[in-house]
Amino acid sequence: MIRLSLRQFRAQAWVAIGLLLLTAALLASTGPHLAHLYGAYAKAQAACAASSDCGDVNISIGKLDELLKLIGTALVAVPGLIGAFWGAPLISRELEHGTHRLAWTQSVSRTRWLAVKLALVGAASVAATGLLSLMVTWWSSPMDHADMNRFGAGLFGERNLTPLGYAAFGFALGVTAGLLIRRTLPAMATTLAVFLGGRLTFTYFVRQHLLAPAHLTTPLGSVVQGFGQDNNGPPNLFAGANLPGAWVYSTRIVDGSGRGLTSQVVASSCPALLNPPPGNPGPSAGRAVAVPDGDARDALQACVTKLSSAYHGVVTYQPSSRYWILQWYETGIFVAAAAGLAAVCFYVIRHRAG
Amino acid sequence: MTTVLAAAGLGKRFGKRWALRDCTFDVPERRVVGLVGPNGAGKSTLLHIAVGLLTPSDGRISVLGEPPGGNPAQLGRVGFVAQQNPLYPSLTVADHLRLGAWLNPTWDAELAARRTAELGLDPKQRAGKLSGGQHAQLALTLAIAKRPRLLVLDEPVASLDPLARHEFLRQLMAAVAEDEMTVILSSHLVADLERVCDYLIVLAEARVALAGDVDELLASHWRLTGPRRDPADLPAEQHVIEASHTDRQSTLFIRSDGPILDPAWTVEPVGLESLVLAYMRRADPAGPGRRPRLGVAR
Repeated sequence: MIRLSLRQFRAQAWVAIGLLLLTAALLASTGPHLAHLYGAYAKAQAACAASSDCGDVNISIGKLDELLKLIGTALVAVPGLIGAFWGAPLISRELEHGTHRLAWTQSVSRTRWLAVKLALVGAASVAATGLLSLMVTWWSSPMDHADMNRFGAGLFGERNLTPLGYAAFGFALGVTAGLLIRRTLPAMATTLAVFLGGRLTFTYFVRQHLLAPAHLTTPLGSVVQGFGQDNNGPPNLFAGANLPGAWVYSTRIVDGSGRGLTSQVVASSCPALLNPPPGNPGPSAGRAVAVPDGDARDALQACVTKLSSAYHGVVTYQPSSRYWILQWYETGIFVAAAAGLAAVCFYVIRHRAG
Repeated sequence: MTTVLAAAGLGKRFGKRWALRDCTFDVPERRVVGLVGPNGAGKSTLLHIAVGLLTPSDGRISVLGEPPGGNPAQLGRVGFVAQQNPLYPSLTVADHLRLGAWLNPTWDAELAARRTAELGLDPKQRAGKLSGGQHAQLALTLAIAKRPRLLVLDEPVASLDPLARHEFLRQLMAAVAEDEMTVILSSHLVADLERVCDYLIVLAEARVALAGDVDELLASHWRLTGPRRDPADLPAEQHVIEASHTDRQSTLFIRSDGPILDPAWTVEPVGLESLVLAYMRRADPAGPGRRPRLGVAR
């Protein structure tokens, strides 16, 4: 049964190996240069921070590197495509051609037939995605390190372990859809749609609840980043946390009893902020945090000092040390979902079909 | 007489529809059994149950003394060629023979090689590119080379032209003669089965309308023609299968194990085809002739 499964999977396996080799060649040939570029960038940043007359350092990478960044983005799609192109046809094609009646009447039980196919092609799915993830993670590590945003909604699922969990899930989803729908094309479409829906739902609605976030109470001065209007709302202080590598859910300014800082309090406590002296532009509209200069900066400073006895900052976040716990957690959930789908397949193939 | 397949009250329901109902029959060993019936009579359902692809909703079935498809050894003892002779279109002839060897411990590689050579099949040819006849022959080879004790063929010649049909049945009979195999093959055409079968099962409207040895069936059915009379007046051992009357004349189709002594009748033997048709008509709940033979496909 193993040899038959290998024979049937041969063409698809060659395509995958070809694509992986091509990707490996591209990334391996550009990776060291990118690392060098970001090394220089880090040095320049350090030098800039040390000097007094340096604003900011920018980095621009080549067109090819920009293009290769897309491979990382494509990693989001790979598990869905594996589900559609490896998972969905695995059984539905047999059902469509009637060859399941050939396969299931040889001296091999149906359960074993399914088990071997699931194990073999499932392992190939996870391995191919894992290799791609490994390459992408390696290639983009200097970039990711500079961005310090590895908890980002997209990035978290494009690096390290999580793609492996998605691959197992996508594959099992495809097989299940193929077995239940019994026709290849509709099964492929369903797989893509359900996979996409599941991934987006998990990313935007489930992931933040996996672990209870930590709360950090800090003095007001360390969270106030400016003053302005948020979408034409009442002018207020802007708060933000500077926690490198952490996943910050929210940063709020509250008083001792937990009430938020209102614009009325700001207006009454810090009139100088609202009525800037002539010649200084007032608070700007929009979310752009104003890092004020001169008089305005002094006024903001004075305001923070005045309010800091009553108000403080509260940061709700996942510390950067939880990155791997969350990676394992999310991967585990998707692998468990894949196992559940596989169980459905075993049940269906034993009790229905024919 | 050993029984290869025994069905008792066998039934299969798909949703609310019974595809097979209350089927009770035995298939004796070393026979070539024809399973005949109109399309939709439940032939495929019955065969799929016999090879373990479907589980019955009702009744019992035992194949070679065991429930069908229960374990790999049982699967190995039963060879099956499904309708349209399914093969993997992208795999070659050689791949298919390898597949048979990988999946069946009882595989007879020598037999498989000899048969493909005799058939002139190119080992490198993909199954999808084979002609209809070759395709069917390869499917048959796969089923025979696992050396089954029971070979089940579902409409094996339905898609073949007359020449390929003849050749397929000839090959099948040659294989049967070599081996101690029992064969069950289905068809909706009696003519296909007449040449090869020595046992007949007629399915109609999801039920077994007739089952028996072909020679015995032919020896016990007669067409009687004579002056018009009421079929109820016949002797008790003569069972009327079908009766038709004109003003003066009656034509009866009867089953009788004893001789027909009434000199008023002209007695004729019946052919297998008219025998099968008479039983099918009798099983038709709408009654003979009252059901439209042509329907509009919706």
